[in-house]
Amino acid sequence: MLKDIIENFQATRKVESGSLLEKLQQKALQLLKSIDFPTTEDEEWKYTNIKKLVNTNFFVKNSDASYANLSHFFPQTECYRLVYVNGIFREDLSSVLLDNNAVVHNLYEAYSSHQEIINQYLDSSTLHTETAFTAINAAWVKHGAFIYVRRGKALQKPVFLVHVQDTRSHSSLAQLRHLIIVEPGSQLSFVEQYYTLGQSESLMNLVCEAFISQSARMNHVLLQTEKSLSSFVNFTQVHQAQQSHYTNTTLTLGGQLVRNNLHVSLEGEHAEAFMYGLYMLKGNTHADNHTAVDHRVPNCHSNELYKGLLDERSTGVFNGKIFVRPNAQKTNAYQSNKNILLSQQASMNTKPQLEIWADDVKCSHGTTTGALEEEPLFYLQSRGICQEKARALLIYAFVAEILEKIQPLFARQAAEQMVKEWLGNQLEIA
Amino acid sequence: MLKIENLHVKIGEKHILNGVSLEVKAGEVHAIMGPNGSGKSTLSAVLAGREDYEVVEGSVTFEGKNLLEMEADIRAKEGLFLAFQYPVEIPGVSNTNFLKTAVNEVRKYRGLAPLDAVAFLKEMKEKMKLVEIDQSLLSRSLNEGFSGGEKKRNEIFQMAMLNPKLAILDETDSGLDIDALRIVAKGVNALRDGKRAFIVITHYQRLLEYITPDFVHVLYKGKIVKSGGKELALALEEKGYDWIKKEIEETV
Ligand SMILES: Nc1ncnc2c1ncn2[C@@H]1O[C@H](COP(=O)(O)OP(=O)(O)O)[C@@H](O)[C@H]1O
Repeated sequence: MLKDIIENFQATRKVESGSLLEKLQQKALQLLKSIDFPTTEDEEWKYTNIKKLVNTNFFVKNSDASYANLSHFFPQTECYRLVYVNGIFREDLSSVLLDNNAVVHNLYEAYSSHQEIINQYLDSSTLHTETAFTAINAAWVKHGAFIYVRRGKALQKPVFLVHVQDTRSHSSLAQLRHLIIVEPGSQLSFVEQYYTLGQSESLMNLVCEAFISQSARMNHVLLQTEKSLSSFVNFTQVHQAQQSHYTNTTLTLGGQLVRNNLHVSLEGEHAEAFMYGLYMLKGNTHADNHTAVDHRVPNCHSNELYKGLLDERSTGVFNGKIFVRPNAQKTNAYQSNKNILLSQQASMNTKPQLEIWADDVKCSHGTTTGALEEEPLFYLQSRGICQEKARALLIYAFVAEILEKIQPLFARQAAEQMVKEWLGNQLEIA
Repeated sequence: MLKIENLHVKIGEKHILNGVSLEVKAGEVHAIMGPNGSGKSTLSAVLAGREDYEVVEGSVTFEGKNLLEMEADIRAKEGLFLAFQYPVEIPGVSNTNFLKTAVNEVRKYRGLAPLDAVAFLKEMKEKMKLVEIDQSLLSRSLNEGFSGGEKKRNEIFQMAMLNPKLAILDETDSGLDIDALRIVAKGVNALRDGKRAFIVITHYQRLLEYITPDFVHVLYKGKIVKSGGKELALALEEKGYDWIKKEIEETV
């Protein structure tokens, strides 16, 4: 059981005794005694059955993985780089930043010099008690990105975080806890990418919390390119102050069971949030995107577009919540979820959920799920393009709308490459 | 080149073509006319390889090969082209990209080397002049937001790029004003090289003033009921289809 594993692996999560990190760990362990993992009885987990997942006996590595040649996972572009293998920070492969303007480092390493601010944010976080998943993550809190961009500074380079789940010789449980603080008027571009090596079972249990201050901007890309036996559970919570700007693009291109929770809380007026998602599923992959945007104050704007392609026996879930609080007048909130089922066996459950308590708002939502249209397919074929290639062209056209949103360029190119591979390299896209 | 023999086609339980026979030789231009609902579009769709139709009887050969057994893309690669009556809009697929893919797929099948970017562009420029199509249309998504005339011109442009042996124009004239009609016809005429064959499907005689057919056939109730030279089209224009209908009914 997941819970027992945490108890047993003290060494990997060892932190200074008496520190807040240790206190958080203890508190979480205590909490885990009384809370259980959600079941399909739970409305939030109705279509995602995690019974098998939480009963898997994952292996946890105590030491750094020996696998050293990971450079082919790194982008060619200049960036700050945080590298993790099986949940453990690899400083030797990373290129960190730690100066008066900004910090890009592993949470644990940054803790000694930035204890005060880390304590302040972690201690007040309510995320740790959200679910059993976030609790086991807290019981482990040590590894993960700490990104701190000071007032009025823009990072000169994007931050690229890569996690490699090495399951070639054994299963693996890995957990990361990111803390991101973008101070007033500053800017951050953060790209996370998750890979698997090997064929054993694994779980990445990720918790990410970002605080975007007044007039600050954050661009956030999550690339999930895991293998068929890798599962991924992700809680990303974003807090936005006034006039801040946040863009999230989440790409899911594989895995066994993927559950993303993306919660954006608009806490200052004139904040803007853009949430884009693309999931391309085949085999037995199950991917569940739960998003929530909470309009707590007036005059904010949120825009969400999630697109999905489901082939073979894959299953998908989209649940998009929009809350508009009573005083959040002049809210603009848009949401759209579009799916294409490429096989008879694939299925999609989609549910927009709007809870609007204010009256002067502009909200809209729409959802479609259908097969690839016959007419365009025939048109392309009648011009000499074989069926497989014609399908690939149409699918690419469908997903391009999301790919175009991805910044910076290296992340977009990586995403395009991944999509082409998913399509069986039918396309040379100019 | 194309030989249709006693073709019977139904969709669901509905019989639409009831024994069509037609032979088209290299270099010939055949017009197929007929009142609405006579099966003209069905004939072109069956030839192009649309799957909703069931061929219950008869055969179609294209240069001696069984056309009905080929997938739609193979028919195109073999040299058959259909200009659609209603070209579909495909957002997100760039016109140029699509065409480059199509041209090179077809070339590959015919044992020709693929065109590189420069050669393709040169070819495109040449053919663009032919149909007076604007560069800006080609960088846009395929047919998306194109006017009726632009769509039809794009069809002829694709035809020019794909170099078919036999082109079928399905009511290419419908919805076109005189200028657009003239441009489309000019494109088609420029591609008449004595070898390439055409089947021009139309309800009206109008287009045939610009594209002179060698043969005119009248399709009625899923059958070719009358064939003749270009004067038949003029007779139809003058007397309307009722004249033919009456003649048929009388002979039954
Ligand atoms: N998909 C279809 N389902 C049922 N009937 C059809 C379908 N397509 C065409 N038809 C019928 O077949 C007949 C011939 O149609 P069509 O080939 O479009 O004729 P034309 O092009 O000469 O106007 C019409 O009666 C039409 O209603």
